[in-house]
Amino acid sequence: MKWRNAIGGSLLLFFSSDEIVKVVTGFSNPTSFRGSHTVSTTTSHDFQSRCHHHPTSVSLIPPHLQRRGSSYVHPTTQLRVAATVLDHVIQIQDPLFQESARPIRSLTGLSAFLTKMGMMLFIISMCVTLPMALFPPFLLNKVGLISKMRQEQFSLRAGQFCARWLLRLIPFCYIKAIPFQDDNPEPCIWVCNHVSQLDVFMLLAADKTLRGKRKRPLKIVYVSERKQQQFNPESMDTQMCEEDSLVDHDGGLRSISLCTAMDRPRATSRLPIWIASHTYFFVFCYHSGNSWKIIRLQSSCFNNVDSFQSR
Amino acid sequence: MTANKAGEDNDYDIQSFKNLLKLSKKAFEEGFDIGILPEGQLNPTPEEGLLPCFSGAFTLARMSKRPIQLMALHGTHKLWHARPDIGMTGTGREVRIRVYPTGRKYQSGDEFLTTFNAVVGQFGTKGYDLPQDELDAWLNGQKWKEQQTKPNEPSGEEE
Repeated sequence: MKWRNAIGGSLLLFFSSDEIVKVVTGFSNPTSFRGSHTVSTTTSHDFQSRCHHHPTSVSLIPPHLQRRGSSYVHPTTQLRVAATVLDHVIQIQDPLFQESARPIRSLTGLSAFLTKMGMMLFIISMCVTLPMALFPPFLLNKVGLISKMRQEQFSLRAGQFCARWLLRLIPFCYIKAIPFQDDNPEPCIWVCNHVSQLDVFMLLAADKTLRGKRKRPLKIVYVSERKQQQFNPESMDTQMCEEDSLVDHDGGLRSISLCTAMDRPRATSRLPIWIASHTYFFVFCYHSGNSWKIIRLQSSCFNNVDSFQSR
Repeated sequence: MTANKAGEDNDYDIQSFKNLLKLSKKAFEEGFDIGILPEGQLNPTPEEGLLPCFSGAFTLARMSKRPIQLMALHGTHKLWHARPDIGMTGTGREVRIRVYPTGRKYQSGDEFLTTFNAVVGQFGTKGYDLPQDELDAWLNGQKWKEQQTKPNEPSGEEE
């Protein structure tokens, strides 16, 4: 503990005093970043009933107040406050739901410089430590001791560990993480906005705080579907989905009619063949000017091929 | 997808998307979740809102019968901006990351995109959430339903 504080302290000399206090607080609680809160579970929303830690009711309850049943009790005065009232007040005061009252203060020249240096040091450190951390799983996979899947899982954990600890050692920024920790996480698809090259590092560093220890491993991929010129329905992999995983509720006709003019003749000429061979297939339909939708059409959707072809 | 600068149109490559579908399916089978950045590229103007988003996440969710869970991020652009003329000129040091509770299966791509823009767009742009009631309404789908029924209301009043 001492050596860790010593290293941290020497690095923190670069930062202002109030920031040191905040980061030292973070060091004393290595499982969380500054500002990660204990979360109240008092909520009545149905869709939130599964949440053990509901992040939209972040609790800033003073630690000296003791909760007894449905109320909070002050230890010396024995004054009682109903928990629902206090939780409501706390929720209103939560800065995450309101614009900060503090004036926005941009970094001064020296502070900006030090922040930039810290960030560059962090990125360089990541570039050095990541290959070192990823090599053992890679080697184990090459030797045949672990599968590719296990290698990827180990690599992800190693990457998160590196990002988390390097950010603690080089605290060029503060991460205020608002977690949602589910004890029994469902498989799902995560979506996030993207504003900086640092995003992935930050998500790696904060993942443990954000999603808890029982989180499912996450792979981040880019998706962009804009250019329609290369559309080719024949080239699509028809084995992607299980049966019934995509169902065209419009009976297929409308979806086919949404095909772009360029692709439509090809799709229509191939359609009878597909139907004859009872093939399941994908059709990419142009939608709202800037995105594609994937719709799988089942051959049984087309009882009247002539009416489709005449459209 | 070929590399593009922030703010430029994405160059869509059907082969890469095909690979993406295969990889996604494999990842699902291996027990991974998939993380998607629906904007498709770095946002050079995060202060003004999200870039036009794509419904690929909804497509994947629908294909795999999985819910979509929202996550929002604010402040990293103050450390390293997507615009090359700003770059690493630090203007702030606080990064806020937010995970929203319980994923939801959206009924359409438009519903997903509208919800994403409203919830994540607000946090990504301002750094704080919508008012509690409004946020809850977006997350449980009430707000979307309200928006869908709104166009019918004036006609009813006219009658």
